[in-house]
Amino acid sequence: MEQYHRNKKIIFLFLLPALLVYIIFECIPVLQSFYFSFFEWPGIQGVPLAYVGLDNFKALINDAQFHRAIANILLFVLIGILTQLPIGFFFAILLYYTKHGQKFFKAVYFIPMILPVTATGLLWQFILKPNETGVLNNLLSKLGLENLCTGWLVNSKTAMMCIILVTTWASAAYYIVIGLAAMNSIPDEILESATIDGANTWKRVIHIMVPMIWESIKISVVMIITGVLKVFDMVFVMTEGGPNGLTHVPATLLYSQAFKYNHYGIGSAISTIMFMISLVITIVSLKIMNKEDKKSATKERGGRKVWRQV
Amino acid sequence: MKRKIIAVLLTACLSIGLLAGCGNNASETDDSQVKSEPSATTETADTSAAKEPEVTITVLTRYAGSDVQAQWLQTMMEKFSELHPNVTFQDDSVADEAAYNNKLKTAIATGNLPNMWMQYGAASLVEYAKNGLAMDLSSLLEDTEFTLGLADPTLSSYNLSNYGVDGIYALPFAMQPEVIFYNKDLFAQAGIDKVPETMEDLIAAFDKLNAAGITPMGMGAKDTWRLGHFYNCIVYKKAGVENIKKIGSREAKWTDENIVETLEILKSFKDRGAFEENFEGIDWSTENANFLSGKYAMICVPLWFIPTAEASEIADSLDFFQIPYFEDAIEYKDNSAVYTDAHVYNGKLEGYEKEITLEWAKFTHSAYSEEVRLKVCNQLPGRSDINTDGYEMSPLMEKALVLNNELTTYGGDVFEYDEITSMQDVIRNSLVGMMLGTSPEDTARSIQAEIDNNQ
Repeated sequence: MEQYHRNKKIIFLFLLPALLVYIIFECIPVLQSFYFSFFEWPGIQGVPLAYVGLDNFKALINDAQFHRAIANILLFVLIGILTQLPIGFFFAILLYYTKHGQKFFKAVYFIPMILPVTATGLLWQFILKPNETGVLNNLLSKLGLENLCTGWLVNSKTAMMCIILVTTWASAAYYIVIGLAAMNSIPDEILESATIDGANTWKRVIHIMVPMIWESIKISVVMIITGVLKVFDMVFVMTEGGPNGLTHVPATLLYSQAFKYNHYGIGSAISTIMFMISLVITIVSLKIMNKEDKKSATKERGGRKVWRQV
Repeated sequence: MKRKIIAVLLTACLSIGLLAGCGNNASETDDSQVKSEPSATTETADTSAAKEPEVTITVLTRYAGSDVQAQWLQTMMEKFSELHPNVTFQDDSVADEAAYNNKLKTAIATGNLPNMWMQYGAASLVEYAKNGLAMDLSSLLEDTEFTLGLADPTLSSYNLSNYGVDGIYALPFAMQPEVIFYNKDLFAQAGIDKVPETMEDLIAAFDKLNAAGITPMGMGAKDTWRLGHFYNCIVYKKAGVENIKKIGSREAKWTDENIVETLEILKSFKDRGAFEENFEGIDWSTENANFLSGKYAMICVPLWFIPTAEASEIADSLDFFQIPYFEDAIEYKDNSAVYTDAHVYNGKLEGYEKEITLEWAKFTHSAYSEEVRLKVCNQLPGRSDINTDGYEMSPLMEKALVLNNELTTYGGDVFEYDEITSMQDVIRNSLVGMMLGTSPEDTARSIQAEIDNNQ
């Protein structure tokens, strides 16, 4: 066994199938998409690709729909991080401290995650329908709050926010599970000794649990960012990017450009730009969190020094 | 023992279900009312079977599933196979628009074209014609017996000469004028004793209906084609079909004063309370259901709605009237929005397969075919020479036939005259955007920008 571990050829041989799949189905399409973003093609077999240089990118820079899609996705990322993660980890903490019925609540909270996105989108679409046909408006009317009734998915002030919050509702469960798993891996002795030392629940969460599950929080942030940047299904099911492009995100705009309007070059350019944005945001967020890591590590070392001097 | 009995019973139920499912074939439709006999114009079945090669005709349409014309297609394929036993059909039809578009696009991108497919609008045909994907059907014009009965005997709807392409590349089919269906009871309730003839009458009717607490018109604008269709009616009656065609050929612009005025009119309808609040979030199925439950006084929809109206519980209260004209644009009084499906045939075909596909094209646009559509599917026929003997037509259908024969100047959806494929979405979405607050001027500018950016 030991000799297998040292034999690089064997290691490479074992890695090869996964590597091939990754290259063929991930790397090559990404490079192809990058290549196609410099061309235009009407979608007819036999018609050659026409080289257009940076025209597709220039068209996007001047396209108000694309600007709105980018603004929407950045808002989506921001609100996604500010809601999915805190809500997920908050419920994880609640479940961690729940002595009775933990399994039951875990299952209940996980239900939105089990539902297909299409079903979730349709469900909320019915809830948010305008006028009395929508459950929410109906409820508001019955509570005497008619002035709050609106066309939730057509009103420019509420449409995008509704989609973001529905996505939070559907995704937070995932972070409950990640959070709970991370918390369960914290040795009981540490929490018990903190309790003996007089730390209350709040202090235990902030000073012990959060630092000890920091790696999970980091992974969750990256997952939210990458997940939200490529969001398509929820937006498509709920609004298809409408009305009038109000709720477009890059993925739905890409779909419209490439598959509805036959602008394959522009579609490829959107995917290239999104790839770059995803890469930058992910690297920046990881850098920021790694800095936090280093700071806390330095503080910890500083703390130890002081303790030793004393 | 008990388990065995249950198993036998379940198997029997399953078998009966399967048999019932197989037995209820769509092709076994009640075409007993169709009096004419189908005929092959080339050879009879007996002789053709002996020497003609086996051919499979692939058909890609939206006449599938619950579409009423699915029965028509099944019947036509069955009858054609009887006349040409060497012909078999592969029906790839799918009712859903997005699924249909995806199938067609894949076929075009991969070169696996069906023998026949459906087409909406002339402009998007240009690329297909230029690249040899669509068959030139000009030869059909020589068969006057065939063309004379057509609603468009010169096949002008699909003439591409404006786009620099000679020839005819699509056969128009199933002409459906847009009209306004209305609820007679609700009109009476609001004190409207005469159907609106002019747009001014229509606006007066809106006011009366609103005063009576009745929503004047249903508009499920979440499905953007709803508002798009209504706009087609306004723009043709106010600015004329030719002016929209001129935008397609770049002789006019969306920002031209007369076009902006049509957008202002559409917006003013909302401001006048023609539609219910938040209608931008309501879909067609809700609009349809609300109209048929007596919630709206009117809906603007093509005549394919007749079977639905006649099957509803309030059928006796329903009728339709032509789109009113503008008193100050009387010259466009006869301009109408009329939608046609069109059939396109594979331009790559050669030899016998091309010959038999052309035969199929004529067969599906013949008087017999239209008779089947009327009598089996209750759909408005696209020919004037069909045999209606012994067929008791409903009052609505009779009225529709008269209307169809009176049509003189008509246009399809406004985007159909534009080669830019995104125009359908851009125009319809912009109209919804205008209803949500964008000014008519900005709406015109954003539509025109799409054209300018794609030049």
